[in-house]
Amino acid sequence: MSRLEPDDETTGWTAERYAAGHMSEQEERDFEVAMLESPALADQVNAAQGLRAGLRELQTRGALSSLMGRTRFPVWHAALAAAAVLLVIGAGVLFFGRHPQLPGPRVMASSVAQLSDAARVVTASFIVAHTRSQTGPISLTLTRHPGAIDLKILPQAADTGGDYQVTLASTDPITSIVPVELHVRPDPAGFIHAYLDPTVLAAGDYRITVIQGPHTEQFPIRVSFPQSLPTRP
Amino acid sequence: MGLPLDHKPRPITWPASTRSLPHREVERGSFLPPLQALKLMTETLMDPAELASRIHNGDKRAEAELFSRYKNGVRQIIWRITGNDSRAEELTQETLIVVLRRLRAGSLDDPTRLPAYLAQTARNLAIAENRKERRRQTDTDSEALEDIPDSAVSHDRALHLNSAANIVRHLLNEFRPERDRHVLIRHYLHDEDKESICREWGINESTFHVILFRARKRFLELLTKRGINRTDLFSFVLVL
Repeated sequence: MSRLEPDDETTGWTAERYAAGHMSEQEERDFEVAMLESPALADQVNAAQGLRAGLRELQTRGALSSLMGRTRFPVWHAALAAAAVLLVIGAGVLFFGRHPQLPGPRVMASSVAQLSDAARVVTASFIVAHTRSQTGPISLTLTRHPGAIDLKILPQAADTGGDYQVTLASTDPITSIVPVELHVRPDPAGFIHAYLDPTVLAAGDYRITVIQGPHTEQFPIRVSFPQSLPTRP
Repeated sequence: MGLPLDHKPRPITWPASTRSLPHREVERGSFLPPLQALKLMTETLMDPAELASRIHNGDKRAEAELFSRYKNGVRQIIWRITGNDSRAEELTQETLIVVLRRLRAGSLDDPTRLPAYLAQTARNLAIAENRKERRRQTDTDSEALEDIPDSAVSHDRALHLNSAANIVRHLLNEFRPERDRHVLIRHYLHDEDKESICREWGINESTFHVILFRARKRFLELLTKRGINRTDLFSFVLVL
């Protein structure tokens, strides 16, 4: 291993892997020599370990959740924020007067960052694929807990290199959502990821349509929210 | 922080008060150079061959540099094998003393490979210690030994844990945007893989690395600001 500079992006990641114990024995030996050649690299390893230890301790104390999403602003920001809220309310009143219908929070997106604040963490994943034994729609049993659902869609046709167009539409007159369309690329394993927000999704029948070039596949799904499941673990 | 190939280290100017300070070497245990009087600047680090040569010529400052420069890394290597902090501390001193004696005698075949030799010596001593420990445990009542609490270690550990938690709390409070805090938690606490974190947060690999780099850098800055010695922090983070 050539001399590693601790400020280098790749080196920093190598220090992270070593700190987490994600290296083979030979990689560890090579890194340890590099760490002795560049003592500041040991600092990077210690920092990674310290961050992990500190976060674990905060989690143990139950202090972590209150830190997420909490930000401190100078006092004058409050006045500015209040003025901004008034402005938005005023604009909304004008806009609603002309456009009575607006789309609600996103029910599906290509990344969790595009969903509501309540769905920024993936809490469950489902594989959506055609199987020989499958008859009827793919069943998704969800809960109303905040958190995104990662749908890992596996198309049967081989990837031709372009974006996949993924559409979610309701096939149930009761659910009636505005169809959502994404343009995504698959992950290295071949799965297309679409993230659902279960807090804005109604139970019922849907269809996911995946199109790439001339190939179209459809996946009927049935979403349910059993009443017997606890609302909080 | 790398040195250019043609770098010639500036002579280190030690404060006058350090020149006559004695240092002593004990058979097993701590080698005590006047570390409190030393301020080692990274840009004046000698290359290993020069360090070895100076030690062979009796340069005590070079001997002190051997300890201050390599102690952290050697201890990291030993701890990963032994998993025991106090043993790691002891074996670190032993490793450095063994290597120091070889350097004084000039019997190191290739001084440019000093770091590799240090790493191998550390590993050998740690593995030997593990074997000895296993033999000791078969000869004694290991359950009885485990029941004896080490109150000194517990107290230090609690203090250090508190420090780390406070530093991380401070860091999270000032980390922007909120996305970056989530990335840190997913990586360090949930041990999730980089690819899924990047995908879920819509960031590329480079941004991910920058977030972690900022966090590590800030962590070390806050550590120094609180007057916590980095080597003290090392003592407890690894046991968690």
